[in-house]
Amino acid sequence: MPQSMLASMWMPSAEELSQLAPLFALVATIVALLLAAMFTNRNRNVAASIVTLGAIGTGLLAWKRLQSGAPSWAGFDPNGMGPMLISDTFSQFFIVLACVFMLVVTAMWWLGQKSDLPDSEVHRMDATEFFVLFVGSAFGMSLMVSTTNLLMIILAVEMASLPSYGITAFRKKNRVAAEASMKYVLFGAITSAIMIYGASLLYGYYQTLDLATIGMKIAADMQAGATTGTLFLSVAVFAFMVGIAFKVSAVPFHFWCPDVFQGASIEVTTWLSVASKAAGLGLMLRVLSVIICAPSAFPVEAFKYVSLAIAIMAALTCTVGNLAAYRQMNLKRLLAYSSIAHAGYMLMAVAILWSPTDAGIGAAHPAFSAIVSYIIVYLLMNAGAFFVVAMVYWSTGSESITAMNGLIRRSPMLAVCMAIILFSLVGMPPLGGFMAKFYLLMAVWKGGLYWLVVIAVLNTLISLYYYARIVRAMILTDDGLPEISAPMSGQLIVAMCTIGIILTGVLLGPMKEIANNNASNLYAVVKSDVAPRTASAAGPSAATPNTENADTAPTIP
Amino acid sequence: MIEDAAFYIFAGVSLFSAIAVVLSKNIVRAAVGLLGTLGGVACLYFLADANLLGVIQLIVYAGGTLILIVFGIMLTSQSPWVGFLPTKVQAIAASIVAVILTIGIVRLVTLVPWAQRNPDELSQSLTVKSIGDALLTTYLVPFEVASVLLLVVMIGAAYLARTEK
Amino acid sequence: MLATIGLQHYLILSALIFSLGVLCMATKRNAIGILIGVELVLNSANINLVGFSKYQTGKGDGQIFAVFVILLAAAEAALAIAIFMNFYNNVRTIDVDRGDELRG
Repeated sequence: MPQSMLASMWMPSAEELSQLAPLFALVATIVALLLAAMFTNRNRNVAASIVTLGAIGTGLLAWKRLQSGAPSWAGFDPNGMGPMLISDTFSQFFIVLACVFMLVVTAMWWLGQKSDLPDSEVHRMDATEFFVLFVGSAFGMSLMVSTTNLLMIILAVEMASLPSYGITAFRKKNRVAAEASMKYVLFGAITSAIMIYGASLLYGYYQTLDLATIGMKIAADMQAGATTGTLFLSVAVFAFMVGIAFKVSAVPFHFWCPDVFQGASIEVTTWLSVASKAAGLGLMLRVLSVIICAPSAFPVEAFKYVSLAIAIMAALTCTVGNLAAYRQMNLKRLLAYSSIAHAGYMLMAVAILWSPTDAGIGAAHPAFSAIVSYIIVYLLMNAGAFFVVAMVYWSTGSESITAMNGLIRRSPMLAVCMAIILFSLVGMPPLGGFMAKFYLLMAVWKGGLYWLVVIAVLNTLISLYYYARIVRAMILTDDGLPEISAPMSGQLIVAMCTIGIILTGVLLGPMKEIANNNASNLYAVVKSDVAPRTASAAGPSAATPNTENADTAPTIP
Repeated sequence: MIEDAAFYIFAGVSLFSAIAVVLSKNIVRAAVGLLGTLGGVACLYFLADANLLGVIQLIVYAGGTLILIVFGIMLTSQSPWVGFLPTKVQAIAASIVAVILTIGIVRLVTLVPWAQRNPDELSQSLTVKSIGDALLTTYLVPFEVASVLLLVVMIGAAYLARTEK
Repeated sequence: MLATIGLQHYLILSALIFSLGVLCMATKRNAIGILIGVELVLNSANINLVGFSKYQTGKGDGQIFAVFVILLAAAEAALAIAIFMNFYNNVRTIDVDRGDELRG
């Protein structure tokens, strides 16, 4: 009897398993960390080495997929109920990005343990726990961009959030960290609960957990002229989006962001500032593009409201971020508000997803490439800026803006790099920040949201003031603080980020090409030009064979 | 008919317990109220042919999560009578929002023309076996992800709750 | 109103518990009180899922979703309470209003 059960059991195919190699590698890193801790008496250098190797391995696996131009793939669909996991250039690009950033943060951790500040205690004692949580959140963020299933999205968001709460609280004796993590966990729990409620409504109305099928049913409803579900749909999608907006720290779900960035140790702040937002934006784009299906074919009325709501949210997010950054004295808090503002710019590109494009079916919406290029530059800018703040903190023990005073004398190299990074954050030509913002606003302009472009430009002017305040402190104010003893490797990383920012600003062609490549072959888009499959309303369509690619993915009839 | 009566009884129990959670001035009483809601909802699951879920609700939710919450209360309150009242204005504003929310959602879900199906026919396939099968086929990936999630959370919670030497 | 029990009864009950959960989250000043409100909201989502499973889809996937929601609630509560205890060890209270170091 057991034999026959085993024979009839469904098993994932080798192809399915190989498509998921990057995700497996991350889980293997977690397991390796735990086993190594057992055999090496919790050696922190071993733990950090394992994470470094794991990040490099995962990154290479994802990079290989990216290079081979792997077509979009959707799998784990034994009963024809829609794929659990998908893999395309967009998701692999985000995994590569996460791995690069994991390396940056691990480097920061490694350098930080050498300082004799009180929180370097943490580094000496509990590296294993720290890295398990850290890799766990990286795993969650990688999952966030590789799925279109409601249940998987919720699990992925929780997988990314829960370890993040843990590493925020990691400095246990620190009152500010304890308070930040408590606010973070409460806010996260509330938003994810509302998200789950929204998902339950979506599931009930469309009777499936697969977003692509939901999108198809919406399009069919619209074609048939049914409007009864429009309000219901808007509310359900909106409630579902609350959880994602929390990850992106969009206003009014941004309250956790400054507190957590100030309270967490600097490695954690650096990690959350880019990874959490990038994964949230990737997920938001994915969800909307999959539900909307083929924008040029059926402009779905319901999404006009969702997209308008996102546009208003984007405008509020960058305005609130920039205005609140004005009076901040703590550098981490100031950069937190700056990251909220940047999330607002990126959300603007999400808002245009609804608008039809002339790109035609089969090509990605310009919003994807705009966000891809922005995120690349944003990663470089934030990695550099936080590394400078970290090195100033390690040698002075202060995170205040006054710790930067006279940096041009104390460490000319850091000051020059920081100035370039800050001007790039403002969006000064010819730096990377300008080009990324320019592409993004061009896309928004073409998408027809002219008022949003005006708000973005006004916000850029506002942001000039508080970034310039740091530059002024570095160059014009000098109150005789001692020189900074910045580690060589740290300076090298900052210099590399700065060079990257200059290159992305100057080499426009390759940059644009990279962005377009990484936004092509999208799962959502590919499926709209393949043979249609009618979705049965009730009962699993068991007849559908288990396929390895997206050829049988649902589409508009 | 008897099932209808049972629904109203269990729905009433969970609803009144939930109201008690909101109104109670004492955190321990709120936790007991939550127990009532969890139990009532579990009985509703049994009524709705979700036997496995009802059992899980009782064992994991009422028996595990709630006990955890009660331990949390015991370990963090100096006395069992910790008050936590909001100000009058806050309470009134929150109540108004909640009433609007209730009316909004109720109107929303009653306006939707839900497909009329025969529940007896539908519930044929809602057996524990079919759910177990689905967990190891269609839902294999979420199942595995959940195991990684629990592992990571366990390590994080153990680290945070551990006393320092 | 007192008709045969159908999907709408489940949905209305769920809407009521959802609103009570939101009210609980908004009015409690104690971190664990807020967590209890979150549990109410999660329960309301589960009532929806079970109702849909019985009256709309007839498939197990709503119930499986609900199982995962229970799992997430347990994981979240475990970590949240560890974090509350950590805060308590530092500040000797878990009143949310006392968390006032971080402002601005």
